[in-house]
Amino acid sequence: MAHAHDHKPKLDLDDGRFDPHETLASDEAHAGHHVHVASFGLMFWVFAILLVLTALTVWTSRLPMSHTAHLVMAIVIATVKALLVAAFFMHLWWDKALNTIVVSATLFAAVLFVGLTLLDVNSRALVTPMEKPERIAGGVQPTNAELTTSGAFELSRRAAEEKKAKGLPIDHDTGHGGDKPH
Amino acid sequence: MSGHHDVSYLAPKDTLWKTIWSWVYTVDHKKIGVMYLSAILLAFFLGGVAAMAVRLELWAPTQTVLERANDGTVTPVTRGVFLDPGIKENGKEVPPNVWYNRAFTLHGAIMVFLFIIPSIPAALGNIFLPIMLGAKDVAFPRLNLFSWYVYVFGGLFAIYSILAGGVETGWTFYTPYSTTTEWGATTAMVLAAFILGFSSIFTGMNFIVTVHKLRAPGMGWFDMPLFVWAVYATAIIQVLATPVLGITLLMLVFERLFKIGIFDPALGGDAVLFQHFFWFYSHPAVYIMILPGFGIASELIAVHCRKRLFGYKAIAFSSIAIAAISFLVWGHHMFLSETAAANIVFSGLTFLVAIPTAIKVFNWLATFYKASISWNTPMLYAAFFIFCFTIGGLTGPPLATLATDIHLHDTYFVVAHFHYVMMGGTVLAFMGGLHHWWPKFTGRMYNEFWARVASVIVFIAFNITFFVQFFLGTQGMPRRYATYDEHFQLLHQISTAGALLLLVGFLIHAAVFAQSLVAGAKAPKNPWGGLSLEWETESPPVEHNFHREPVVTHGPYDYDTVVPAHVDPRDYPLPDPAEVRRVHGDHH
Amino acid sequence: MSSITTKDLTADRDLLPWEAYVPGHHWRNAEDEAEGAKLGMWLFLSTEVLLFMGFFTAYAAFRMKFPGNWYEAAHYYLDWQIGAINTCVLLLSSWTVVMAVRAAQLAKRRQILVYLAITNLCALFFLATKLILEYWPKIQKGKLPGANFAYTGEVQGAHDHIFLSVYWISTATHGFHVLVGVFLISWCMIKAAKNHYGPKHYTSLENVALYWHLVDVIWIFLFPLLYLA
Ligand code: HEM
Ligand SMILES: [Cu+2]
Repeated sequence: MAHAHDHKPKLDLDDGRFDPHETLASDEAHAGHHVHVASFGLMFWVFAILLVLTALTVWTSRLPMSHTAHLVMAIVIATVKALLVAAFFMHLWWDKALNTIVVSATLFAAVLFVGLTLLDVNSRALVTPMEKPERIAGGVQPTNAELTTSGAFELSRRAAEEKKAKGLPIDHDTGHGGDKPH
Repeated sequence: MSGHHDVSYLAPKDTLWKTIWSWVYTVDHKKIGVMYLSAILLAFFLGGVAAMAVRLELWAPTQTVLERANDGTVTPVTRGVFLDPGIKENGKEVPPNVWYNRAFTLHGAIMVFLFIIPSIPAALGNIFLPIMLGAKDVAFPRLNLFSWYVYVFGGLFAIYSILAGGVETGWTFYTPYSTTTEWGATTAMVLAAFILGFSSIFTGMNFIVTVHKLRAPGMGWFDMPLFVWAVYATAIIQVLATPVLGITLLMLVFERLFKIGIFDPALGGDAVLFQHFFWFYSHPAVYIMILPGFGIASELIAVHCRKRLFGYKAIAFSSIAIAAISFLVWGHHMFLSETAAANIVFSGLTFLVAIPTAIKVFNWLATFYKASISWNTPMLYAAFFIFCFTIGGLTGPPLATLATDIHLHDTYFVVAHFHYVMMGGTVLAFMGGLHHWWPKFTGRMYNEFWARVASVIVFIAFNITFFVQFFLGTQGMPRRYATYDEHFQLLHQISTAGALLLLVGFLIHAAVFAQSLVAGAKAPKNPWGGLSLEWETESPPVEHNFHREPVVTHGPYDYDTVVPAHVDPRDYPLPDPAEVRRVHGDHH
Repeated sequence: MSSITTKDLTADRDLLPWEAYVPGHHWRNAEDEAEGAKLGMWLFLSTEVLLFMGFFTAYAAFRMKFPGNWYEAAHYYLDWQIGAINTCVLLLSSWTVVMAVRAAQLAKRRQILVYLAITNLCALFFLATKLILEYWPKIQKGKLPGANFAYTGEVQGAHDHIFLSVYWISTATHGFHVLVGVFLISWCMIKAAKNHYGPKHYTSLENVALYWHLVDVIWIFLFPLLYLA
């Protein structure tokens, strides 16, 4: 039966050095595999496309679409951008498949986390009515059903009324944006 | 060969100071493993003390009595049986049920976060995974040491929390109770669990890279011992699930400190969302707890049956399958809080996990067939493990079934279920592994007779303690209550008596280990006749594990073709003696 | 790659640190070490992604429940222009980090330093914008998470304070990662200045770059979800 000292170990690791012949061989292997030098042009184009996609996502967010459509557009564009970054900036395209497997496993867990949580959260409306989906700004008072889903609203409303009654200033925040798409 | 490589990793240095320094600053995975082992055994002891407090309190139901104050007013006062020190906090006397809550929370949180999760991977895994792969160390030795200090840091938070008044939310920290309770030091304990999670993540990352990159020449994936496969599958869960625990607990801390409201229904938040977050980690976490136990069971059974494991690949892949499925089922902890749609999906998915689990059990049993079993302590523990884990596993499906779980949820049935898998499974496997590898990493034999006595006591006592809890649960005794209806008392007392006997068993184990360290006989290289690489190096191993990097020439379970050195071939159920090879344990 | 001697036989000079690099004693060769480190980094990035998934899941749960309220709140409390500029700045920094790694592969020490310096400037710009233009005005106006939210009467919906909670904790955690990135990149700059990076060894630079890209990816999702959708 063959055992350790019959077979000459490939590398003598005891002093942390390499057999010079081995070094040459693996040097080539090293240079051949590990060093993938990214091309300047490709990386620049990826960067440019990312900027364009950023503009695109801003633009779509201002289109008159349903809330769901806005959300879907935002997620789709962001996913494309993230894939570009992962594939090219993060080198997955050229790397060992193992790193891509790690990413896939991560996405598997991530999607399950959101997906199965939403399965519960979204099916609650089948039992308890939730807030009306399309609420537009402009002083619409919450319905009773909404108040029960959010005692907080009621609390903060009372707090503001109290302030008013005491003559304390209520600062009227205009926010930064305030631009309405509709 | 240079000298220091040949020295046992336990050998003291020239001066005491240097010896101490060589431990606190070590990057040697074996030393880090031994430090983890000491710490988790301490945690096991502390958790055990809390468990005894719980069981003693349940000896009798708490009593509500009328007490007359000096001014003549009469008030009803609840008196605890055991946990009733009458201490005041913030001007109020802490009632006995709060003390009871603290005891079981302490027990659960310590056992889960400080003991069982790091137990097998970070202690035994750390010591043996690199050796079994024929590597000199884990991939990132400094990260390994760092993870140990993170663990200690987290442990300090836990201790602070205990000293500052403890926690009474249960180890699950459910909101909104955990954000509103006024007693104790909840935030510190939540932070402790948060920090401990990082230590677990680092260990997992390290092991994954080690398995991928540091296997000895000649060791393919299917030449790896099944313990390595199991720890590898565990590491996947550690990496993918633990971060969610981290963010959950961080958000809970924010909730307590800044009232962010996400989990707080009073602020328009969603308390059930917290449960999703928590169980997304904590169900996979139960497989962080049990998978390494599966791995140990495979090692113990193969080595002490001296037989090729039946269904190597099935066992290996079932570990990975369990790791994957463990992410699909968390909602089975929430059948009473989530919607019917989610219930149906989670219930169905939960049953899937029984398949790879059963594959393992059947393969272990098949290995027993025509084996030449030596019934020493590790093997006894392996058998006890299969017995208890199977009971624990089989009580899972009734809990995964919607209709029955409505009745059994939050009762002692669940308590019995998870103690059968966690204690009857993981802890018994851990004890088996500890005895199996004790001679290897300490270099000393232990007293086999007393260890067997202790293991039998632990096994019997464990079953006394927890089997009755199935009955308590089906009869409607809820968990986490300090008091109960009087007709439950007999069963509770049996359980408490069993717990006391368990204590006796573990004390004998402690004595056996202490005796071994002080006066144990010197261990040979391969006391059990194992074939995986750890049995080819010295006991205890030298600093870099092997004198020379080993080259793998046979599988870890090739007992049908290979006989280890110093072992009587007649002990082996070999098919064809002509084909038998002998492994030379000696590499010089 | 390791070598027998630290003298370069052909050039008759001391080897630069990256030329003389020797892998850790437990690795079989430098390539394994570099790949192992990268795999470790990817695993770490996995944990980061799943950590942030906590915020995204919380976002999703409330966004599904109160879509109208959240859409309005996003447009009311947050300025998409600041978000968009910061997105571009982070994208630029991602690109410069790519270029820094490339410079290391081509043994161009000065280029590494320049690209990393731009990266760090971008990071600091991002942080400054966040603190000065976003966080500070919100703190002043009481637009704080959860119970500390100051209700002012003309708010869009019942769950603005929850929206702001998700906004605050996710962007603050992200901002913290940016801050950590600044330190990591500075550390890489020191190493680059000391000639530790070259074609044969640039592991830590490559891994810090991966980290930095991840910080960018997280923001790629945070920006549209919080500011636009
Ligand atoms: C054979 C597969 C298994 C199935 C089908 C299963 C199923 C379940 C179910 C449905 C529950 C929730 C019961 C309730 O609260 O109403 C539960 C609780 C629990 N299980 Fe399992 N289980 C299995 C294996 C395991 C294993 C291997 C472990 C740990 C090593 C484990 C640990 C736990 C723990 C700790 C709890 C209770 C957690 C708590 O509420 O504090 N289970 N199990
Ligand atoms: Cu579970």
